[in-house]
Amino acid sequence: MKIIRYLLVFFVFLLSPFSDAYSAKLVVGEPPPTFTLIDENGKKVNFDDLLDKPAVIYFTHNACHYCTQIIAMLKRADKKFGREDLRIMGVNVMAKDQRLVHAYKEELGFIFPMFAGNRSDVLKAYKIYYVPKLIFIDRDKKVSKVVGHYIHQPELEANIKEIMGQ
Amino acid sequence: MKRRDFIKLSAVTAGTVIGGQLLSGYAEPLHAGNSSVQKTIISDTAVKSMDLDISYVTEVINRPKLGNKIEFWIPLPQSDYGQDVTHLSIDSPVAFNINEEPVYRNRMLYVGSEGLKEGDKISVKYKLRRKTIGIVEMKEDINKHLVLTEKEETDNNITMFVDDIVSKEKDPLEIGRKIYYALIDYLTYDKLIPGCGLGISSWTFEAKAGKCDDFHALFRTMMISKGIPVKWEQGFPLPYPSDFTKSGKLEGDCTGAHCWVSFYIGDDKWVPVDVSEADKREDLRDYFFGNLSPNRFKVSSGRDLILSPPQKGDPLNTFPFTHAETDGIPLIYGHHFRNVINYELLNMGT
Repeated sequence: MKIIRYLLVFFVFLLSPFSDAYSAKLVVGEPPPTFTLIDENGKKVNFDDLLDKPAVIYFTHNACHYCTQIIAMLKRADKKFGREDLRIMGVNVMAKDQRLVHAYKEELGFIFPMFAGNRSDVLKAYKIYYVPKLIFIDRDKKVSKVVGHYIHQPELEANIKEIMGQ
Repeated sequence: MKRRDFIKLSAVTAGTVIGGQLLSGYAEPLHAGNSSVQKTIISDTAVKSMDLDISYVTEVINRPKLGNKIEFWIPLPQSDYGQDVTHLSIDSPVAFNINEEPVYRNRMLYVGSEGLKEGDKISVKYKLRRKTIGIVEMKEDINKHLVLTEKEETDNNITMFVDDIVSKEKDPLEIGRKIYYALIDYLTYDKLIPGCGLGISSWTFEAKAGKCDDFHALFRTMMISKGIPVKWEQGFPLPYPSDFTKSGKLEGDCTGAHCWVSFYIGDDKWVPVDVSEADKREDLRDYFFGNLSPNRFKVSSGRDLILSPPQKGDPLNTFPFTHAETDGIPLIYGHHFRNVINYELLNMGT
């Protein structure tokens, strides 16, 4: 009976369209887990395609005051450091589809990409036990730092400068 | 109930009227009972009750750009074995309803209006007497407290851990005791993270750390896996008597809440436990098995909640603070709305 259960789990894993990084874990100094996620327009986007430059991945949701404040900081950073040399992207862990992500972006007025992240494989791989959480990825596509708490603008910018090699 | 323009609803709740016992105009040091004592000598377990004025205000900060109708579900506390809620009053610029959902009987203020504008405030005020509680005798349907939420599902690691801890013990009280102490030893309360825990049992077990949601989700997972009903109780923390200043303020978002649980041992008896507080306060490690200190108040019960009227989004993980939606999309805390909870200590009884 147990063998059948394991086989079933294995086949479900293989057949999942989003199983690309199920076993990967977030480790500083290693490449981040990559997934195919849905953006605000319902388009499937592979994280890996967006790691062509230093990146900040921000995990958030709608019910946390700190989280909303960090969006404002990321908007300032997006403007200051420019999109040519830095990629900022958000993951809303409440969102199962594009609807909530679309509304979130529209309401808070930012243009960097955001994805629907209410998926246990994504949350587990990135160890999202809590929000807010920021992952800083350097130009070698490796995780440079993980900040799992509230951050101030100077600390955010210092971390961005570090991954940009400034 | 539908009335417009700053409707006042007064004293709708049953329970002990505590108005006659209120102290007024006092200054530091705080009063414990009727004796004036220095804060530092108040024992946290000697205080048996706290009388407070609570104000819970939900404010519209920005109207949503998408959609017109704003919906708020604001939790309303009820009197029960641990607290008396009296002198409830509600101020709202638009019509409201007081509803009750059918599963856990949580009561809530519902507002659904296109007329809410920026700066509008919905204010809920009440007097609260919170009491120390021990084992509670209460008739209740236990079946709903035997259902794990998706976030509380067990896995092989948890099952092995519980089987090892519980061994051949059959007495629910002793099983609860074993799991309570094992979890305190196994988990670390993560004080450094000011964010919001998700209360997912398998991840908490793996991380060996968490906050109150995480501790109590895992406790429920373990106990329910042994067939013991566990009731989730949701509210807000207050300072311990030894730390209490006259008044304070809480942010009503996912960072500000507190939860605890009670488990069933048969004969209508429920045993309260607060595993995360026991982990934080080593001196109260034994106390929080079977006792709850009065520095808290409860606003709802249960997890995975469908509100009344039902919200269009997912079931709520827990319901300590206002849930807000427009067109079925959750509004953004700190951008569209904010909850501020003010409390004022009126008396501490020993």
